[in-house]
Amino acid sequence: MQRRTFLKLIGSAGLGAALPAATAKAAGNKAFTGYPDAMGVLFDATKCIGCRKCEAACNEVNELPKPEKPFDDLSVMNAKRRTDAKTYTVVNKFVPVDGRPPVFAKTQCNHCQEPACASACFVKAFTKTPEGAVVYDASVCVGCRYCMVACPFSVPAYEYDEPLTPRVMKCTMCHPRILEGKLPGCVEICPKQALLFGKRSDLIKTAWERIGNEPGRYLPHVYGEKEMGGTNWLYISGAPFQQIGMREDLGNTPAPELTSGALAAVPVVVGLWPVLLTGIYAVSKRKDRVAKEEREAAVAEAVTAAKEKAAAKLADELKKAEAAGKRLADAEARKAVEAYKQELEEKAKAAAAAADESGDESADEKKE
Amino acid sequence: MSHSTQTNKGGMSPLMVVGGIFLLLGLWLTFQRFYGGLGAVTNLDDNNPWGIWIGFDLLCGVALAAGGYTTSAACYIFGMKRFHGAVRPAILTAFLGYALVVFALHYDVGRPWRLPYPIFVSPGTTSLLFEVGLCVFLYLTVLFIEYSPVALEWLGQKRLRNAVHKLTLVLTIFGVVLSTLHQSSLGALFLIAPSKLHPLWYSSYLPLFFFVSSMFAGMSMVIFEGTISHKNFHDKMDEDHLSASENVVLGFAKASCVVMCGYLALKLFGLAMDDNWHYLGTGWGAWFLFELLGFVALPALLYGIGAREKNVKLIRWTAALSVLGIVLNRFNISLVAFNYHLPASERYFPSWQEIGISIFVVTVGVFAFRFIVTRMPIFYEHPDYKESHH
Amino acid sequence: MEPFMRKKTVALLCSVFIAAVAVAGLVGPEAAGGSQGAAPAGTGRSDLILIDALSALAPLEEAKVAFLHDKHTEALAKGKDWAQKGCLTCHPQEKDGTMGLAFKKPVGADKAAARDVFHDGCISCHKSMAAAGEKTGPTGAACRDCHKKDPGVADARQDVVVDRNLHYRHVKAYEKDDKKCGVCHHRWDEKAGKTVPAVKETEVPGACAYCHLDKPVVQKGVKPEIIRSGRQAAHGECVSCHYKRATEPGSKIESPYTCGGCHDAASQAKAAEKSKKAAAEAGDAVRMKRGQPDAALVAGSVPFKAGAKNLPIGVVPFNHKAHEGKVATCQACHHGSLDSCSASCHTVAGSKKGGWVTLEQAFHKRDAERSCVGCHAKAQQAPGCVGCHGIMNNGKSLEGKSACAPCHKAVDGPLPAGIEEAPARQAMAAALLKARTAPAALTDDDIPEKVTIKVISDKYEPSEFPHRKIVRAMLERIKDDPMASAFHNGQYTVCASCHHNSPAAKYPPSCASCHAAADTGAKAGRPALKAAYHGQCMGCHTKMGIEGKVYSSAPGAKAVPANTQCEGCHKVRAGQAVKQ
Repeated sequence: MQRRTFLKLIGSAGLGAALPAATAKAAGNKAFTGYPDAMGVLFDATKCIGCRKCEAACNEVNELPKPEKPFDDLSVMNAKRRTDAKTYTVVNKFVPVDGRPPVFAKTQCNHCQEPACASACFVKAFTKTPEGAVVYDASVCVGCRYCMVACPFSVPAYEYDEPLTPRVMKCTMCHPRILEGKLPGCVEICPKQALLFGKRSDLIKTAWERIGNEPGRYLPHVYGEKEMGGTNWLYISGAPFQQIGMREDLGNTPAPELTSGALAAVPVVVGLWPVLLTGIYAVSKRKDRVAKEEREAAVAEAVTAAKEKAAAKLADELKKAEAAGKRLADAEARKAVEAYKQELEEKAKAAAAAADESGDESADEKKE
Repeated sequence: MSHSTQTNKGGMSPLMVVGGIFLLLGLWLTFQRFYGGLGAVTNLDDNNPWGIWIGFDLLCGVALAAGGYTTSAACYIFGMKRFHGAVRPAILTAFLGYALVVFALHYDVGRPWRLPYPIFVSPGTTSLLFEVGLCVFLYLTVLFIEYSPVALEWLGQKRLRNAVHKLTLVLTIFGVVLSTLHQSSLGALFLIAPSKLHPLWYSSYLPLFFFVSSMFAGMSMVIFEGTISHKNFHDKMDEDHLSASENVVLGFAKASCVVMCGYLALKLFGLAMDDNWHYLGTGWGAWFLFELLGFVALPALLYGIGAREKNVKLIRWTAALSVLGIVLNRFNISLVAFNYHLPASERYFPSWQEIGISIFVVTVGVFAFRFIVTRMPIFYEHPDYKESHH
Repeated sequence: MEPFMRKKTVALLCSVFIAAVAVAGLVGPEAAGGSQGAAPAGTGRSDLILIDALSALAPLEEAKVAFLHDKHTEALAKGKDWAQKGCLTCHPQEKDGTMGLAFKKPVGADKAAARDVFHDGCISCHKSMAAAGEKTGPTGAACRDCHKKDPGVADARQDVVVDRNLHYRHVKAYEKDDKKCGVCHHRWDEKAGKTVPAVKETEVPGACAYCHLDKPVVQKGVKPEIIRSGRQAAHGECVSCHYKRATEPGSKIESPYTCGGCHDAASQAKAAEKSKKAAAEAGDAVRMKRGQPDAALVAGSVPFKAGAKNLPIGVVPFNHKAHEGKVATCQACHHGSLDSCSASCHTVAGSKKGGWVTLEQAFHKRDAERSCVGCHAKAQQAPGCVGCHGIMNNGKSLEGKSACAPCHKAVDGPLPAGIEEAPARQAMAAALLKARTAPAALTDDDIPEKVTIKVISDKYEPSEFPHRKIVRAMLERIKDDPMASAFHNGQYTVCASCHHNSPAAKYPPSCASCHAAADTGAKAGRPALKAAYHGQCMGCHTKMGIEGKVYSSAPGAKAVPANTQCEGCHKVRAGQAVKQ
């Protein structure tokens, strides 16, 4: 009965715990290559002039709070900035080669094909839409900020100053606008079309065409084509990405794959541990029982031996006493013999009790 | 019952006064936290979303509360009955530890009233944090049930107590399973950020490292907690507990020594697997070696010596060192080696308010522990249930 | 165990641990610091020699020693032995009495002996100088005194190029010498079994680098068995001659012989200035005479045959003389030898000797430095050209026949008799070059004065584009460039840089006929109108380096608007607050 309850409990726990491994998509030999018609944006660093119009447009269409310095103040680009709770996108200025013109790089959510934030979120607040955008649902967010830890591009920001309803803030690729058939705000405003909107697959083709047509102008690398399993925001540049504030050491492994091994271990633990532990318990209990039985047998043997010995002695003594009794007065003799017999019996009892006590340590199990 | 009388009759000990101040301070900071938001009291920012409330309160809290599952597993599953007297303090420490972890999380997360969401509203099953959350939730329940006989004995609920007591083995096994899962997944939380954690600390074995280290963390904490309890609650302890505590110190020292050696081997294996040897020559390498040699290898040796020479005092000091080592390891992973690539100006250092809240949480724990052990049968057996063991 | 013994064990273990941490701490920073070897700017030297002679024998165990040659020369020149020994203080004397380039003696095959050459040679000298109380280098107390990972100086050595101006100065200096060219140039004399001076111009085998390669050439069974590397030959010949000339009693010649004298950027600039002046006075005499023609027909895959008709790609007349003036040495084009390119290297199908570069590629490969097209493409990167040539597909020429026409001239009728012989070909080339006419100049009538662009006039007023002013400025820049006049061969060719992808004509199609008004993303395949305009204007300004700068020399000229300065081209429309 106990064991059955136990197995049932473990079974249900195992089912619950096995779920994540089933959805992690890591096992099996299928690679997730993204939604086929997902849209994206190609950023061409050789075209960007650093006018911050995209920042202004982003601020406007997302109805974000006005920044301290206006968007036409280009001096803010002298310091490196990152996205924050009031800014979905920033353009940073870099001077990869001293004396050459600066290169600008735009930062915003890269909309990974297999987003780390979505994989990390324990309330499914992030969704990778078929349109390509990774969108966030504040209505379930607990505010654990694991998405921020997980994001390899350090994009999501948090409303730390919001006491009651803090949200994670990040670019949405203007998902609502895309659904309306409009371009993302930043893309629409860009005077140089340094941001090109389109199907991710088309953008990759365009990117490689540009690289192929003008090899001296671009480095042969489309950032985001493979990084972290691929992103829907893509970049091409003439300067090494490392020199324009983008990490080139992220690898090509999609984030969910990094944790799939650990998640896959869950059913193993849930399935094997109880069996193993019950086994250990049974073995240790059996060991105790065997030891106890052996002890009990030994004690019983000792007791019997003692009893036999006592009985033999008693008989012997009795014989002697009887012989003596013949010489003694009847009443006197009987009394003395009785007393002696009692004494011997007590001795035997004590010996048996001592033996019992020594073998009694495992008494606990009896109660289990 | 002579046991349940207060230890220090009349007046307040200086420790109580300090504790009281901490509690008041904590309440003030609590108000600030929920009135002004996280930004008002923490140094957290967009690059450093996790501070000491995760690094200390969650990671260290859970690791150090591992004494519950190690002790009960040793006693009930591995049949080491000589540890019996130590099970209850360990379970209590674990229960309070986990309760405090959950309590502290209310400060750290943005919308604490939604903490049940991952389990009941919108489970994000691909997240390791979901695994942590689910297991901590379940394990806290298990610990509560495991602990409940104590309270029931205190309250005199004999039949209920006996019914719960029958579940001991099942609960113990359940506890080990859940602990294995969430101790390891706390380490696995960082698997998703290989680009942010220094390669010396990042390893695909992180879950294994966390689980294995939680074993000696728990055992060291049991010894450490026992040391402090002995100083303060000696008069509450009965024969069974006192003899068990000596057994526990020696037995756990030996076990910790073995587990630490295994942990060391695993760490070296991790280094070899990722071929990270060359990092050892850097400043980060020196810090890594400092952690590994000073707070794992050294305590392992000292535990070994202590166990062989039956040097209880040495073991107790070693336990303190090991506990410190776990704190250092968890800090290294969550704070020091995390975001190692960022310039110094963008790195995180806790604000005094964050430290204040952490102290507040620990103080709450100490007071709760004190409240319970001075009233309930933790260090001694309730006279009514003596026969149930012997 | 006694309690204090126990304590001892613990103390011992603790101290072992502390020691381990201390060692890690000490080793760590040094190991970490090893990679930060960059020397601070401005410390570059042209006399830096990294001594790695032993690397030929075995992998190096220590860091290479950074040796500053001129520093040593200067220091030793102050010594009393210098007057007698000179360079032979350190360098060995060869059998013929000249100075060897090795330090002390050439390195043999024995590693230990080779190492001792340097250790003894350097350290003993330093020691004896130190003993004499003189300022000197390390005396071997610690390996790291010399074997430093970071020498603290950067190599700023410039390669020496004997361009035709510098060559001319040498020619002039030895005009009356018996050996003439043979003062420097030599050739292998099979009969004599040795190198002999190449006295006459025609005896000179060509550029030094044709024989003296990057590494010494060792050939078995063929004489000479060893041909020195370019470096060895240059230092052996040039330096010893320069030294001799400069130190001769009563010498007035400033021939440089230190490292810095030839390899320093500043001394090179100074020498170049001097050479340029000398060459300017010389006129045509500056040409290196190797029997080259002034004009020639480039030999292609089709042999020249009298009477041949309808040559598929015409003939290419080449102005050799004009090109000589544009390059430093013959090697700019004739990089391997003065022989025909196609004879054995760049054959029509390509060959191993020619690195599989086919004849067609040798002339047309765009990213090659020495091909015709490659060299011209490089010239297009000049600020005056790159504005047009840098924005559309990196200035790739038009496709099709019109791209070939500037070089490949169609020949009317059959090739004349005697075309198989060089003089006839040269005459034909000269005639074709002479017949090349400049296209008619653009008149004001051809260039609209202003163009009004109304693409984003929802927020801004229409932009008034000073079309004629800009075209005139462009034409002004290239008016004296012979290459530009040779290649901009149509009247409207220059218009095509902006009005691209359609035949050059007086009335090109409007931009909007190809570029859509609205951005439709990647599927459009070309930029939308707004980006197209901005791409042309800003691209040109950026490429030419005139963005935000005053370009015109006219009084009161305004700066070319910076790319980010919208109001420079567009006035904000009244009542339209542009979101800032």
